[in-house]
Amino acid sequence: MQEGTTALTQKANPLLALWNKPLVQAFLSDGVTLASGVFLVVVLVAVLFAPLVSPHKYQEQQIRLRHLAPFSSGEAIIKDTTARDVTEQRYFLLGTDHLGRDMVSRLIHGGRISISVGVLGVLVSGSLGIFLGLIAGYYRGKIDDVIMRVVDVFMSIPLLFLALMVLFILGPSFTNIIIVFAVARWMLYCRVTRGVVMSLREQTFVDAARAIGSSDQRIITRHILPNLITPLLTIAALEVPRNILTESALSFLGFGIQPPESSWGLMLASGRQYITSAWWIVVIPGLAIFLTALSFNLFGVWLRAVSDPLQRWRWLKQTKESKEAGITF
Amino acid sequence: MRNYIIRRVAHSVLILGGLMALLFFATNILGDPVELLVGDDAVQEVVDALRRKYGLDRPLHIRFADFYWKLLQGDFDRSIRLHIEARSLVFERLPNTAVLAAAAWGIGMIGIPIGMLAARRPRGIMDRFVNVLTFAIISIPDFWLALMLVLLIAVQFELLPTSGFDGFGLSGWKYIVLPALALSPRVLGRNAQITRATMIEELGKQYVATARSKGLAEGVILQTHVLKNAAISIVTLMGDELAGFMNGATIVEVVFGWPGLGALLIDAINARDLPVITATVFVVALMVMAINLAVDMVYTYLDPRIQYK
Repeated sequence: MQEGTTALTQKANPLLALWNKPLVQAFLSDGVTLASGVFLVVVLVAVLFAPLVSPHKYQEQQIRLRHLAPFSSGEAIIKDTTARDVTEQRYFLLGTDHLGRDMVSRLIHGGRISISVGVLGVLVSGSLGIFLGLIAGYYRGKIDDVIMRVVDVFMSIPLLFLALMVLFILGPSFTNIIIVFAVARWMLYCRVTRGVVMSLREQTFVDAARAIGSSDQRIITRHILPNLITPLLTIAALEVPRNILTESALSFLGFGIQPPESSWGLMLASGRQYITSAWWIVVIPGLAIFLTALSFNLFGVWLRAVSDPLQRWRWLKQTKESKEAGITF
Repeated sequence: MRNYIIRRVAHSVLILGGLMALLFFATNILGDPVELLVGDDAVQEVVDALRRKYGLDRPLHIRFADFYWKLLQGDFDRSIRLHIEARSLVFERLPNTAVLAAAAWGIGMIGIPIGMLAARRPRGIMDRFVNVLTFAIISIPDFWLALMLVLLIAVQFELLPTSGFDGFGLSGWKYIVLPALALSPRVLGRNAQITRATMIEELGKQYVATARSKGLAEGVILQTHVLKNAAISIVTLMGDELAGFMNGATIVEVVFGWPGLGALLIDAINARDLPVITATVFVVALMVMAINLAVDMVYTYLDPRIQYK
């Protein structure tokens, strides 16, 4: 394509303009990041449109079809009130579980719980941590001391112990797992927020805002919060997989999601006793957890790298222009 | 230095006291100890009898004072399920977890040479491989890895027993291999990451440039100069990992039936055995703090430049 035409199409086509952004270029040129990004999009779409994408009903039990190996098919019996039962040939890509339920459909629906626990957990614990961190870092003094000592107390025992304590007292349920993350992970956001706020509040632009009579609330929301977005976003991206893994561990131990609801961790736990006869019931949900957590982690690390001014050049400059210019890293 | 130790110990005691207050508050105010013990659908007479038996009919502030007084004496009451001292139950399990930790740590040491290899050329092939590898490791669900090991090594090839515990004698070693293997990847990954980061930092320092300009071979620089200095940070950062290690240890102990602290906690929660839960949480928090303090002390010994006031 000639240079003139490229410029024209760039103006006309916003997609093409996006394509030429250095960040997008960096994302596309890094194979590992691109692969994890694509995987995440596929998982998120599948989970969002779960009823549409699931090949079969995820709760439908066909006891005659139990423990079907992956890539096999079998005859399902459809109960009919009027006439005799009708049979239907069905294909099971990832096999069936111990109750004859389709693994693909269960995986997609279980992912709904696992991923929403991961994301909601980050939102709730993040909000709590940011709020307390803002107060501690902005007002300092006694309240800062109190909040930071409480952080120390919560940091003094392992995450899983804290989570088990909360679930022991409140009982297992979806909402209580979100509460677990609020209780057990807020300290991280609080510490980071406090650190950033403490350095920001000493800077000239905050003094200037105060000098023209801005209220504390306005300074915090208009001048300090926007500067917190980048560091907190990168933490959040790395906390989602951590939450997914913790939820699956809690469900595995029997303290998390309870049947008939299902998450990946619970699927794995319920298939545990069939591990010798039907390995796929255990292997497949575990792979789902692993690949999703890995993709989130790799994407989160990439996000951290490109938002860090000291590291960014390594990723951003590897565009077509720099390669044409003969610059290699 | 002495003042620093005193201040650190005082701080740790304060935090432990706070943690125990939190636990007391959570079990006595948010929840009801008797209801936690018997469940929601118990008969009122049973509830009242238990309340009297455990002295829970006394006012809250008296129970709180009593709780702390006993805590000072190291008394956690008797286990509700097993009717023996909760404290002795915990101390019985503590060595088992410690041995498992030591075995997993031993395997995890392989991470140090891997991290060194990665540090030699940042963003080179080896570095990118190690980067993806370490993220793969922290993304594996612990219990899934444990089950996969059982499936492959114990069930498929019948090399080792699926689970159990038989002391630390000659017959006992078979049982520790799989749990230690299941725990080690996380330790290994962290070690590789920490080693890589500290090595890269050390390699940028001026004494390395001096050594290079003297014409020392790269291998000699790495082994005699850089590794020695990096070792300090590597050792200290390992101490921080202990709390995180207990997360994995709990799961692995449950999967392999290893009688450690994590399995004790899970059993106690399932049996609603509050004294044992309190004792386990207390001892684990105490261990984490003691080790962090010890690591800080070792740090000053290894690196004389660091002085605490």
